[in-house]
Amino acid sequence: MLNVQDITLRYGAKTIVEALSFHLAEGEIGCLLGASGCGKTTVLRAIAGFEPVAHGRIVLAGVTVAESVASVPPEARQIGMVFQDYALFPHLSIAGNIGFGLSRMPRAERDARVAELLVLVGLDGQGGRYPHELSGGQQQRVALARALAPRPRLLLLDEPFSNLDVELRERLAQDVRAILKAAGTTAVLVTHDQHEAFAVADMVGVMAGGQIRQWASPYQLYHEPADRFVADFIGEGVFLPGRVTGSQCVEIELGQICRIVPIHCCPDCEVDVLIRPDDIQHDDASPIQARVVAKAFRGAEFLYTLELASGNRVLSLVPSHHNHAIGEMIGIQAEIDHVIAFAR
Amino acid sequence: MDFSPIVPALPSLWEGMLLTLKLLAFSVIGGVALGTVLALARLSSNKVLSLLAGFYVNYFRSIPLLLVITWFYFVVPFIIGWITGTNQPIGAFTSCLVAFMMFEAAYYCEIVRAGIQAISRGQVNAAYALGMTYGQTMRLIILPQAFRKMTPLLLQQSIILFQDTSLVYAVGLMDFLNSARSQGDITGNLHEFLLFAGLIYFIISFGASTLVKRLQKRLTV
Repeated sequence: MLNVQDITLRYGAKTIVEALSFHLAEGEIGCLLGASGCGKTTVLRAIAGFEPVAHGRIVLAGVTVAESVASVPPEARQIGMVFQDYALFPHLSIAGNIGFGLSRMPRAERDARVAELLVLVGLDGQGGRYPHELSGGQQQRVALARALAPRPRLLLLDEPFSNLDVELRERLAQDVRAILKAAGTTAVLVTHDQHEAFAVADMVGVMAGGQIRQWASPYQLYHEPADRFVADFIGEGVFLPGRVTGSQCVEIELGQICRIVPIHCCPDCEVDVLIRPDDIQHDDASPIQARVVAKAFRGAEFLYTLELASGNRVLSLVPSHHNHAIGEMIGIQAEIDHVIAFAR
Repeated sequence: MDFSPIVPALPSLWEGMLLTLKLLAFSVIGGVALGTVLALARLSSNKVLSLLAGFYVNYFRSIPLLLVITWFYFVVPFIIGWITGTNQPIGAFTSCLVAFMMFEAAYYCEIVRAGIQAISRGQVNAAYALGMTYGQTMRLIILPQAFRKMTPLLLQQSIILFQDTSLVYAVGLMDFLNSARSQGDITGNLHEFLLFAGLIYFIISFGASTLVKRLQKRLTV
């Protein structure tokens, strides 16, 4: 459906994005995730047609829409876009905003489509109001409905939740995913917030320095990061030194863990094993003891920083009724289904 | 001081006022229209267009209005005659009107340009993303918002224009001020007539200005 092939994007002499590729199937939601300045928004703008492509090409539904030599202008790409600041038209009503992209439709048909979208985004009967009368979350929904109205081949969302309260953000992220899935829309989301990316997207590309470091499902990104950068960027965790003991096992100070994700490393070599906070479980009966050196209350759980006998530290998520004092020794156990190890 | 001769002169003063208002109305309409076109040209990505419009605006803003009026009074009939191939006299009113439109367009252009630039770039992108062309985007999204924002400024500029229309005395057009002056000369009460004209200009300009300020407050809330 969307095929971004080897694109390079430049502002003047400065290269923002280099040789970036990814692919989205029909109906799939992709996400470009990265810190600000990594080039993710520039990629989105290139797909929309607001930035020229210096090299490579963008193919949308079998049609090349951008190449270094020629490009289809934004208005002809049949792409919907939701902007960070929503960019609702303040002089038009909600219905006017949503129906704006439908100017070529007969009036009755357009009204029906607008009504249908108002229902889809949960703003039934509010078409006569104006953008400034709506809350941030409602404006966001209108922006989404406006972008979906002309049935775009592809929907682009540029940091769509960054102007919302944290609480609203999570709920709306789920709503947006549900709305997009209900409409069967292929979409690309850009965000710096991994929770948002995980909540909305099927496939996530972790970006840094103008490149995608890994393009994978959220589960894979978290549990099977392709490199140390992705491992660091996604979620929390630490690296513990370990030694490969067999074809599928690695020995760390918490014991031997098997089902290791294959690495190019001979037996007996030294590796760093990624340990996530959810890999370390609190177990009073466990012989392995660790000292609590820091704790962060997160409501349902504590995030403990624990010091092992060797002096290495690990993180552990523990249900918050296990309230241990700093300095206390607690029993822990590594409950690791599969580990990922990186060669030294 | 004897203000009594003003009463019988009121009909001819009214005639003058009508001419002033007619001149004002046409100049504002033509000036804003031309000014909008100039503003779009100045903001155009086409360098030549943008430079030409910039030159036009800077030129007309750098010369006195009185010069433009007298200059057009002589040149416009010549140009129109040259275009149409006939040699009909076109009259002081038309040449003044053309002069005002072209002169004021330079000022309106800058107001419209600022108004367009005050609309966030996101609005343009949003319209493009919805499949609109440049023309549709300007007509349906940018200009409606821009005009709403700049209405007070356009009106303020028009109030200045209302006062400036009195410069048509230079080419002998009988506007309000010129009627007052000539009636004053006829009756020998020039001072009274000029005082009266000043009062009327003050009432209209100040009243309009107050209304614009109130409008501005309402629009900004």
